[in-house]
Amino acid sequence: MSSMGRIRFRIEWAVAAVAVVLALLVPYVIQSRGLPTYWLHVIIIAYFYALLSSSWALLAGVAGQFSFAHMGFMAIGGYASGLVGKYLGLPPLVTIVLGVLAAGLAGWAIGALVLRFKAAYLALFTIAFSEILRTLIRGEADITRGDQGLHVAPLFGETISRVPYYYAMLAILVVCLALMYVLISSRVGLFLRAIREDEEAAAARGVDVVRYKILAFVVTSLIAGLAGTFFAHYITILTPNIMVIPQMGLVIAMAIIGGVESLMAAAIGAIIIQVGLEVLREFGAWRLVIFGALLVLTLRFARNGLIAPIFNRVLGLGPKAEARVAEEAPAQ
Amino acid sequence: MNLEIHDVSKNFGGIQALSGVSLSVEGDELIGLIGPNGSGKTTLVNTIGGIYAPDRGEIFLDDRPVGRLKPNQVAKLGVGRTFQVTRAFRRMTVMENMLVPAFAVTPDKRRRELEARAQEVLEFLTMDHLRNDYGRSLSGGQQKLLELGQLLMTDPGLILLDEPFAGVHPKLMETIFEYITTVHAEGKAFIIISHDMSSIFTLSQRLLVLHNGELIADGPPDEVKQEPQVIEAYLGEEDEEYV
Repeated sequence: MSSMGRIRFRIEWAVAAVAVVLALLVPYVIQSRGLPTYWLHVIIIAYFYALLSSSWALLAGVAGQFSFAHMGFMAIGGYASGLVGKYLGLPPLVTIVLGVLAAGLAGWAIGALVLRFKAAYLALFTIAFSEILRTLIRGEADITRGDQGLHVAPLFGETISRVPYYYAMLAILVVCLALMYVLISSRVGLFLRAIREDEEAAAARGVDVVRYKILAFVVTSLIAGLAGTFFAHYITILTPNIMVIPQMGLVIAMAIIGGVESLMAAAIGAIIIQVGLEVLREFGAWRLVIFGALLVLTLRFARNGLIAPIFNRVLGLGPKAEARVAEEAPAQ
Repeated sequence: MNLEIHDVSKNFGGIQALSGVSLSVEGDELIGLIGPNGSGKTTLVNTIGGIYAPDRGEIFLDDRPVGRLKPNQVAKLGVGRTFQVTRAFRRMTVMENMLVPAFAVTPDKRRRELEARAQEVLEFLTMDHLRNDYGRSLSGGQQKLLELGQLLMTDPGLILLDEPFAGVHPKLMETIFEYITTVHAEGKAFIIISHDMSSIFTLSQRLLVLHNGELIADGPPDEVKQEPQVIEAYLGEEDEEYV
């Protein structure tokens, strides 16, 4: 790693460490200020979306695979965990592992099927996959309980406190973000970015495109599956509505507004938007108009999102050409 | 590195891009590959490089059949190539561009070691001051040099250059000339596609001419350029500049 790279790496980890310490204090702050514990729930859900948004950013922003199947993998994790728990009576910790593995297996299968697909074809294929899966879950109501909802055992028994769930979700988010950062900081990350830039040129330079594209799908579907299993055992009821296309659109919008090429920015974008939508709840439908306008403006004027440039410019990080390139880059 | 091409054909939806091409490249030959537009030059390079599998025939690298291998597998066997239109990784820095092939082809080497090698190559190409710039911020000529630099990171035995002199200014052409002669002197074989007759006749030890997917001439440049078939097919009977 170059000296600039090392400095960037250290500053990023330092920023992350400070963010984690602040996050650890959230339940205390909510309690000490007498805020409703509902806000803890809002932040747990924000972390859930941050996990989905950052892992989608790894798949789409780093590896260049613009997939709409991410919420499908999340649902596979949640439903697999819930169904195994319901029919086999296994404890949540075991079913979570099985749910994550089921999502990873689905990610491997989809990754292998879409190897030659690019851009619109990949998007259409993964939309079709998600819709087929959703229809299947709705249709097989005898097994999945369809729209009535599948009841899932709570992760922490009958406790009504949200604090254990908060710390569990925070731990999952931090560990997954750290693992994803290790991955993209390694040579694998370099290969994924090369594939994003130009698959054929990457292959001609010796990169095993098939292997690393499938790896990207497997890793991100494992993480989406983990998010799904946690969500299932936290909310304790699952319906096919968790994977409708607008939900996938929300995750994509969060990543784009944060910065699709930066995992941390995508995660922060998701947290800000989820909490922001709750803060603006009194505006009713207008909050969605504000959100939509923010997305449109980001797409038009900030190709790499609103949070990622803050990392690069305010903290003075990144290659010296980064700022210039970002300014020159047209919106895509 | 020895390359053998036996009776290779390639068809694209009824268009015969290559038709029974056979040739061999031995050791450290420096070969020019010329032909009119659409004659099959780039298809031949893409077939050697693994982007296309031949419909018929076989390609051997040091007696090993490679015609059905993927491009990354061919690259790992020691074949490096550039593209007609430069394909540097645009949203990656110059140093990252250099590290991609190095990591891919020599996975056992440490990052620090490869960065030092990349620095040496960039200095050779007078691009070391651009190491932290993105590929997209480089000029077209600098991107050509970057692609040539990427090749050196993998120490290939056979280098395929597709139009290295197209659209470059004289100073850069000198640098590319120096690159080719220096690297060739280290024992690497080259196949160079070019429409720049002056450069290709100066550089090449041997010239191949493709026309309509067929190899119509193969020999020393001075002999090949006198062949009536080549004059007629490639430049036309009345081309005084060529003659």
